Amino acid sequence: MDFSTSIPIYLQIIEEFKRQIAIGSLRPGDKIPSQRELALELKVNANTVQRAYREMEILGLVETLRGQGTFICQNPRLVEETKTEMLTNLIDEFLQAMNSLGYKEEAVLELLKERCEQHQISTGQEGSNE
Amino acid sequence: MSKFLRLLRKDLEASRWPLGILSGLILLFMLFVRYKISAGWALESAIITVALPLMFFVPWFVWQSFQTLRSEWKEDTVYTLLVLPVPGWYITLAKLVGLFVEYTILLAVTLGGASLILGRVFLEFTPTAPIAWIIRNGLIVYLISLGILASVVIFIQLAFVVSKMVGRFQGLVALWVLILTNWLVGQMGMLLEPVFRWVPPIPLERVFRLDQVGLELQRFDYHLAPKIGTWLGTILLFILTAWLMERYVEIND
Amino acid sequence: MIQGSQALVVRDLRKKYPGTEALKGIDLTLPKGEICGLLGPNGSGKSTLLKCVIGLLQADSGTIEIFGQKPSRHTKAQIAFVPEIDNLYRWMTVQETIDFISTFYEDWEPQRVPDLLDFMRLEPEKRVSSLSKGMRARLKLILTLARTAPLVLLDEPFSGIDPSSRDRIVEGIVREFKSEEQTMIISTHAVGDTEQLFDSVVFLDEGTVNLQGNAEDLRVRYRKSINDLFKEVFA
Repeated sequence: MDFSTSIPIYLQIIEEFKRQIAIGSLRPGDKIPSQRELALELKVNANTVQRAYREMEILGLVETLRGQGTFICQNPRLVEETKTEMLTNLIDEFLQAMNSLGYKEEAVLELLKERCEQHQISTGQEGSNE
Repeated sequence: MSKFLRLLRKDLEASRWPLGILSGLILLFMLFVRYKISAGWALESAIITVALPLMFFVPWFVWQSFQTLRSEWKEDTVYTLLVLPVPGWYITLAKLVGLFVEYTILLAVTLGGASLILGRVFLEFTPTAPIAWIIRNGLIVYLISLGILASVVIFIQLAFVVSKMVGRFQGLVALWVLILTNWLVGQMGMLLEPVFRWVPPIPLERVFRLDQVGLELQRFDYHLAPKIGTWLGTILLFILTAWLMERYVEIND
Repeated sequence: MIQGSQALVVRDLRKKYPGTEALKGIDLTLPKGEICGLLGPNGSGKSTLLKCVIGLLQADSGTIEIFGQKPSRHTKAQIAFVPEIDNLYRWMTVQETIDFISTFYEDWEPQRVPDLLDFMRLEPEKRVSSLSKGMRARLKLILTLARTAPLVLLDEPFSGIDPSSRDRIVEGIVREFKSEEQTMIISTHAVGDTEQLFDSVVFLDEGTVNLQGNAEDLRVRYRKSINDLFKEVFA
């Protein structure tokens, strides 16, 4: 993680957990590091980690069991929801940036299609991710 | 108490090198005198020479009482010392007692060395004086000398601390404080002398060696009445120093 | 024993030296449990402020309250102060330094010392005079972290030391700081990669508070990292 950006550190920590949930390296029911462990690992003020964990509990990403630790919530739709949310955010950001450059949605779609084809050729991919 | 003792121990450990070297030099000096005696020196001049280190004590302890404080400032350890949660008098008293210990050690080295070298002469000197007499007089003289040492240390500590409270002319300020406090304490002694006239003097005996007759003891009185006022004044100065040390000395680089 | 929710309250603090006005009316409130970054270039008054809090300097006017008390011998017992200057007795060994300092504090926890020495990679029998600047900085931090002092003041703990010592010190602070019972002020003139340590920051400029607030809030409000904000304010 890069803390020299303008994004609040606790949000960066939350984003990192979301990313790991989305790509499946953290699964529902998995134990995550204690606040202290994570603070040490990231060399971040423990209060900031505490805030990130509190927010994640409110968001329903994790739950803390007294005396046992903090776990990814046992919500079967969690992975899908997180993925969707991250995806939506990414696309929204991208669209916003394109809009600000003066491209309308249709034009963006056209450009994107073109770009995707080139990308497939250059990386030697065939077919889609499906 | 353990905090005070720790400060004392620190001050003693800090001066172990100069103390060790000085003790060694005194012993070397004694050996030199011993050699001179065997080479035919008169005993009288040997006795005077052996007492020379005692004269050196005066400038040495004036310097040391200044140095123990100065080194804390010079080496920035004052940032450690003045941050400690102890009353100011712990710091100044630890340095004072530390100097008492140093003085006692150096005195013991000098007298011990001298008596080893001039043992026979000492015996010759004191056939008429019983051991109890030597101890009693010696102890009184020792205590009086501690009192003098204490007042020297206290005057210098105050002068140093006050000089550290001004930005410029620190040396000049220190000198003025020394002169002023000396005068003040002297005045106090004179003013309070009538009040303490009831205090009996301490009888002391001086030894004279008369060439033909042998030894003679001469009684004289050490009058306490004029001293008590100056002691009280000196104690007040000590309290003032400790108070300034704890509350008003500023440390800045 | 300790009441109220503020660790430190400073009001209209002023301090003049001959020729300069080091503090021109500082107002500051530091809640308990936070690590506060006291940021500003050299000569902005950071050290002067910290020295007034510990009691090495007396302010000309204004008030300081440490857990509700004015600076005194009693507040010194609650503060762990690490000056920027080399304040250790050079003739002592590491162990002797630790033994000396430990005598004076009720909140000293001797059982933490071996672990801290190990973590900071210091040998107890080494003499202070033989240590590098970074090693001495690490020793100074041990003397602070072996205590559970309610208020910790670190004056420029990262300046002029090697990167690995700096990393050790950052890690030591994160590892040992107990937000339930401690509050910390870290002054620095170079934010660099230490900004993730701070809950709140105070920007000090020529003796006045330029900007202060929660670090995360400032990142959102100014859309900048604290480091970038620092560079902008003091450009």
